[in-house]
Amino acid sequence: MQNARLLPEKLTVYTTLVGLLNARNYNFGGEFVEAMIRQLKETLKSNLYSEAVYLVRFLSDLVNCHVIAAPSMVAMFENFVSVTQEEDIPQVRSDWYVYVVLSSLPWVGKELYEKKDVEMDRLLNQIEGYLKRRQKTHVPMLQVWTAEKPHPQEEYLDCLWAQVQKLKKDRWQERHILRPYIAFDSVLCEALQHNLPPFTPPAHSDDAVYPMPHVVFRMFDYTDAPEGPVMPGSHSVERFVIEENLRCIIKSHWRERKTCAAQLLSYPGKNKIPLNYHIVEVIFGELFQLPSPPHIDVMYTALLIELCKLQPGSLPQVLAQATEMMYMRLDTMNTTCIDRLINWFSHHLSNFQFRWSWDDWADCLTQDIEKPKPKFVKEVLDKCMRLSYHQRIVDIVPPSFSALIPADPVCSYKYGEEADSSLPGLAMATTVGNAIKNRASNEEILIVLKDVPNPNQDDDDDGGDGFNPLKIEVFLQTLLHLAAKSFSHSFSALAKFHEVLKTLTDSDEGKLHILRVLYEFWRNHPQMISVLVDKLIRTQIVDCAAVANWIFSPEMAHDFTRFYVWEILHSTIRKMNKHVQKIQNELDEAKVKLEKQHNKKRDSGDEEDMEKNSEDEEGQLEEQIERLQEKVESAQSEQKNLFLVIFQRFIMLLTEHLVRCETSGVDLNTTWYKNGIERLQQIFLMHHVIIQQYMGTLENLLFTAELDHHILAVYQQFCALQL
Amino acid sequence: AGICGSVSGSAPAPCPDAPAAEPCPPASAPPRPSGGAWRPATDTHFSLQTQLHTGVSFLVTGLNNGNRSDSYVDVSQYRDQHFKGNRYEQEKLLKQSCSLYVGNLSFYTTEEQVHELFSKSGDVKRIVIGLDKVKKTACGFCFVEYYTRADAENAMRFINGSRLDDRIIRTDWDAGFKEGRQFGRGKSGGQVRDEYRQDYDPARGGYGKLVQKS
Repeated sequence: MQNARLLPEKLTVYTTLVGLLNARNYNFGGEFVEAMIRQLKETLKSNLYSEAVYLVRFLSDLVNCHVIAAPSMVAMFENFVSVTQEEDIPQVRSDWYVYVVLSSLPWVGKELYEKKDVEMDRLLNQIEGYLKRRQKTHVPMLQVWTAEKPHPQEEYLDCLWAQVQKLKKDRWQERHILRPYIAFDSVLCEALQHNLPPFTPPAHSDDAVYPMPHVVFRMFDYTDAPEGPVMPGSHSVERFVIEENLRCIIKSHWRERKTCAAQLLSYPGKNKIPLNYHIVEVIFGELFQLPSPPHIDVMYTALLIELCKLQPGSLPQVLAQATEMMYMRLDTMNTTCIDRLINWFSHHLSNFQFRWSWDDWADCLTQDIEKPKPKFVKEVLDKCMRLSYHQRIVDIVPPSFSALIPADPVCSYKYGEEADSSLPGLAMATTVGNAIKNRASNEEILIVLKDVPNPNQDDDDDGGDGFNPLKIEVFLQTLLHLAAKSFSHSFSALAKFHEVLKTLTDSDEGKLHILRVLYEFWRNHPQMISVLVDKLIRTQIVDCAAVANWIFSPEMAHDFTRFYVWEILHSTIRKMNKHVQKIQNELDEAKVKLEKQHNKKRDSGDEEDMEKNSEDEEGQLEEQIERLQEKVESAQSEQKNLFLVIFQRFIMLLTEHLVRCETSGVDLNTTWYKNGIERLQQIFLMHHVIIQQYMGTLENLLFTAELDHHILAVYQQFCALQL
Repeated sequence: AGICGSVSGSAPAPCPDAPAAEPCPPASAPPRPSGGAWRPATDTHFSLQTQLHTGVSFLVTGLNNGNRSDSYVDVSQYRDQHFKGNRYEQEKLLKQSCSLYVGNLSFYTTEEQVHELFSKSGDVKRIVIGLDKVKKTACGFCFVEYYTRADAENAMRFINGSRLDDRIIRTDWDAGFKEGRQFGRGKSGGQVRDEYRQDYDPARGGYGKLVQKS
């Protein structure tokens, strides 16, 4: 164990080592096993389930190395499977214990069956019974494609069960795993074995967080690799082992992309499998994993580029083939996964001079522009433009694709030279513009703006302090126009006139209107809209709920299916979540400080000075804690309200569509609807941890039994993720 | 109370060097047990326990990715010679920094492009485009500041060494933007590297300044 960089995918090497040591020193073996059992208990208590899987797998392989006696391993597995008999537990708990047993069998199934076939059969029967009766409501929410063809997106336990069944039928002959201990069998078989102590799985507790279920991602089969070694079938245990090991390698090396690529490409036994296809499949499987990928999205882009560099003669072709396949299947691909595909593909292309055979995708040009394929191409080109510039995009696509090219990201100033002379506010816009150019202060601008009439009020109003949409338009359009040159210019402008903006948007209507004006001005430049909305939130000119209401407003209906709108919404939710977390952390820190104070006081004895000072400090801390507690509650209330607004608006919009379709007898499954319902799903998936806190309210207020069952199904699938 | 980003960010503690563990008994170990239990002397038994515990901890730490190499996040050899403060202060700031220097940009690369690329590793707090001191035009570098250290680290891992505007860009830790640092320090107003280079780079003003003058 001197190499600190232990690699789970090299598990059998380490077990062999332990086996040899045990053969030389029985006590060492015993104490090692005991230490491992202790660690296993710790990891289970600490919710470190993927680490626990490796520990159990390690222990199973120690059976193969004659360190652990097979019957005691079977007994441990029996204890694990008996979790399926527990009552009132989340399904994900029993799922995990079944998973850990099944996933160890490729390593140790043969040995266990040789020694204890009756018990093992009983065990497998119990597992089969459990798998038949468990709920699978969560599956549709986690599938990358809704279609069953060409590859069914199987629930992970179902797939693993099929693989184990096949392995059993093959009499546990497993040829993929490298087993160094076989070479040492003559030494190892002399060793004395240890019995595992009886192991009771720790009881379920409320703060246990079990791994979420997942769906097995498959995009290739043996027909896809044109030449060379054949890809193992989807229900072969080899497929399982290869995927496990490749995922392990990524988990070990994701921080160092060159090493990670090299390790993937030097996978032992690579000559017997179409390794490039496995690697590409595993990488996309992780990238598209729902709710979220195991690692940050950009890592996968960087990794694929390194792989292309190391295998320039073969990997780029596999990647192109994969891209083509995913393009062909866009119609049934989950919207969240399409988002990730857009981001990956555009970023990837930007590293390769945007070279792509666009003509191969000419079929999308004849389709309605809202259909998945042309929409995908359009969004990809949008993103490519953000990484380059408009003319570049015009240059890289064939002229036939012009309808899909993004708009030139120029602003739309309504008070410009071409403006109609009768446009309200036109003269005022010039005045304001001049004032700004002459370095007017916030107060001076507000004075100038006093003269702007309020189209909402016919008679004399409250002195011009209420919501005045025209004031907002005149000021903001002019300001944005003067600052249109770059992000930094616009940020400076917003900062400089923060006071004016705050004053103008004091009401909810004001906040909504500023977003409308922003959108009108920058509607050809979605990237600019995104960064400015971000700044407006961070400088508290608008609040998160205003952004949510704006996105669902009728004015935004035209862009409702565009990617950037959802990026803005999710970014907004994330800011809200980070804000709550920040205050929560401050509160926790203050509580810890107070605790320390109490301890200090208790331990310090009775020096008067010390007591007086510490009393003051304590008093201050207690006050601070009270303040922070209020802040946290207020922030959480705002957070809950944000989700309520979002879900409410979704429900209204989707119900309207469903009712309209029902009454006019039209098929409800339009492209718009698919986008809408999957965007709703996406809210749940991307923020599931936070949303789970508010389930009670959501169920009572919004997701009630009266809701249309199509919409309720999304909620129920979400609930099923942690049942 | 606002949803303002915090500039805080503490660097993760560098991984401690793994102490060597020797679970293997030394070469002069007593003969293998033959049926009866072999009881070694008390103190060697204790050290075997400790070594075992360490060994298994390694296994778990290794599995938990606790001792993983993370070389892309390391600080480079470059140090800003104009830094106000001593070397110790500079090192400290670099280890905590959420700011990156970005080099080898094209003169035509915009703030918008930089923002799009660097947003892939997290929310960008600010971008300062580097300018020619004389011309006040972009001269091929910039600073990118994140709200958190973790996001900046991901940029070092996944964006450093990749392409922007078809050029391989390079990122490095920066001690923090200060007014004045947005200007090139070359004699002609641009970056020092553009003073002396011999090659022709159309995205960086053509030939190096020295070559242009000759």
